[in-house]
Amino acid sequence: MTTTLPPRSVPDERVYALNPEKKVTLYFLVTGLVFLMVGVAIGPLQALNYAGIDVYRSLPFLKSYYQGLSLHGVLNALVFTTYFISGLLLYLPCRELGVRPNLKMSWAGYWIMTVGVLMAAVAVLGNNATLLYTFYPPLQGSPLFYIGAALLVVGSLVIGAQVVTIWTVWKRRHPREVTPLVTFMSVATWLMWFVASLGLVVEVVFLLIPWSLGLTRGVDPLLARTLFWYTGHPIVYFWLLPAYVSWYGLLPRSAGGVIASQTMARLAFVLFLLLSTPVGLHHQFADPGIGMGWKVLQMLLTFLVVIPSLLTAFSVGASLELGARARGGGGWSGWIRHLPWRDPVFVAQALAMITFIPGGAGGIVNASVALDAAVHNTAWIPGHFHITVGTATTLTFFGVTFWLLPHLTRKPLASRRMALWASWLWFWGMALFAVGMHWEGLIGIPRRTYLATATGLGDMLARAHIPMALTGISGLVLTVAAVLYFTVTFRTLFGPRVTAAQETPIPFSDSLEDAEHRALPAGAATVSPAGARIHGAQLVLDRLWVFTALALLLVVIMYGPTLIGMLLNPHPVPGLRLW
Amino acid sequence: MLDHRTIERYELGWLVVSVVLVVMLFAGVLGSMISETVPGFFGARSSYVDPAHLTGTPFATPGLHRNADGTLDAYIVARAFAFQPSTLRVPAGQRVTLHLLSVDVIHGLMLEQGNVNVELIPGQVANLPRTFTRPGTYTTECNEYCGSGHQTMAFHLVVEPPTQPEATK
Repeated sequence: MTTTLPPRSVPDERVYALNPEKKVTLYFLVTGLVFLMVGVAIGPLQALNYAGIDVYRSLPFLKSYYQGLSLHGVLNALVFTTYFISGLLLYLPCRELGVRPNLKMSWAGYWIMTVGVLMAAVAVLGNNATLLYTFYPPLQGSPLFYIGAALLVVGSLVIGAQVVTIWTVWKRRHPREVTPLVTFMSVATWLMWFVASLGLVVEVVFLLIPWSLGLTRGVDPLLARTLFWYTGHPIVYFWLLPAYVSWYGLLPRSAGGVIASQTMARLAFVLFLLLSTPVGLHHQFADPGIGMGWKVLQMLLTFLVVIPSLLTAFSVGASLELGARARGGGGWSGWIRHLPWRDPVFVAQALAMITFIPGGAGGIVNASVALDAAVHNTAWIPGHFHITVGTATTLTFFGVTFWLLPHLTRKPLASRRMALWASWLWFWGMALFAVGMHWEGLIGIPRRTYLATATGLGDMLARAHIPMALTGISGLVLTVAAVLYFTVTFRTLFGPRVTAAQETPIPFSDSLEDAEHRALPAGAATVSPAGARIHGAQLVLDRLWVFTALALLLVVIMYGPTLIGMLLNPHPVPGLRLW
Repeated sequence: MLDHRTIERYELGWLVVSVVLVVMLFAGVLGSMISETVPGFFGARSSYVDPAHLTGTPFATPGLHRNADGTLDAYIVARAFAFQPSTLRVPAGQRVTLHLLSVDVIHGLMLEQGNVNVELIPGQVANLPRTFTRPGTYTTECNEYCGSGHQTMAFHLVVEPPTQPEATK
């Protein structure tokens, strides 16, 4: 990884001297992107498999389709996201509050994570953990894989603890002040991740590691699955919320506008903190052994998570409209043309947001217990998550790198044009992919299947020719997009530096409330009644520890009976290696 | 230029719309469950069978079982990388309760006829009462990754027209 970082000798200026946290952030981002590059490189092989083209047979370094899929899923969904988020949500609150993180702890987080990922990589590359990224027991992989996965999570928790500590200290020093928005959103995301990661930590540390080391003889697969999905659903919010942080807190400035409503942004994040975790059972609608009553209750809570996302759609839309109108746009929809469509920072994120509309709608289908029966474990599901985490999150992160890498390294973006092409091609590639995959799913084509050699699909394959061709083609479009993206990224990283005065700023956005408040005449009362009301509401929302406690309580209610039942009546079975 | 109070008003309206949408969504799904779009949601309970000791359970002889009272039970065992029986013949129009059990790792089965889509977790028996109406042969395969032979784990459901004598296996 170190080879991709800028040279240590900087001619005339020390880029990291003033803000050494820039360096640890850069390491997180670049390491994450390198792992993403490996994961994405395997993508076209998976896509071509859907088109019936079997590249795996002629690959010397991958033993099977499933080994490739394990790498693709683990690297893209788990590794890249965790690195990127740890870097971004450490850096932004530190800069917004103007404090320096404990650098030793931050680097410790980075190295714990990296050691973990390398351990897991040894297992997966050696074909000793071909478990896909869900690693359901009783399929049993090498202990290296489980220990590595645990270290990845521990590394992220170390960073999260850093941010929460920084915020707590800031709060103590500013008791009557409202936490600045980006910090608030980042802290809420980390607190949500603390609550949400418990399931995975318990599963891996108490069940899978001892079992893979031979210390225990069996694992209860239903208990393990339940703990996995306890974390497995909210982890998607751990991927999504950093994108929301950018959409709410940074994108308005990139679009020339202001944040439409800080209060709504804060309310949305509090709702995510409360509702993200007690919803994982909707991944287990098809599981025997879990009561239907709890599934239905968690379905209701899943639907409630729709509310903060709809609030976000409104609020971010309003911010962009304010920006476009300020730039001279008008009419019902004419303002859209006045958005900065030549700026890759904006374009990548705007396309990510557009993609999230069908992505979120498909999520409602998956969360409906009756409709889930039609799509569960079909190609519909990867179709869904490639336009949510694969685009809403990933394309937003691409947009973020277009300003963040120049900001951190003081090296301007190598090519605006190439960045724009990469964004549009990723968008259209994923659109094709999603249409193909959702369509195949409705026909009944299963997900996670080596389709090129499948024998049990009868006439389903014949009916799925068109969508399967779409999936294959989309893989090629996405490959071009990825090549362009990584080219512009690494050309930037190895490009020439500019002076401190030309450094790309962090686009922290102003908000409408604050702008109006400042516009008041000098003699006017400093705090209007409406302003005081908003301030009061924001102070209530600032009590994030209280909401965390409520989130935990909700988890205990929603998961307690199910988990206690499984723990009192365990059904362990031995592990098997079937690949 | 919109001021923040106008936006706030619209936003509250949008919040109300969102809540109403969610309530309607929940009511709609509950309605589809009660009307049995997917049959037996509330009725069928799962049970547990030790996957290492099938002897003495109906899973020792997988296939269609006709009970003394004329009701039908089908026992299906999933094992890497095959279903037993690999072909299940059922009469059209008659209620059959499917009992599915995995004995090694997690498998899955989806049958477009009868709205079956179930995870097969070792030992956890899925009990699904279904009535298959359209005669024909339905081919499908395991839909949860179970190892290197996952893509060859096929299952055939043959729904036979009611006029034919019913075959047991």
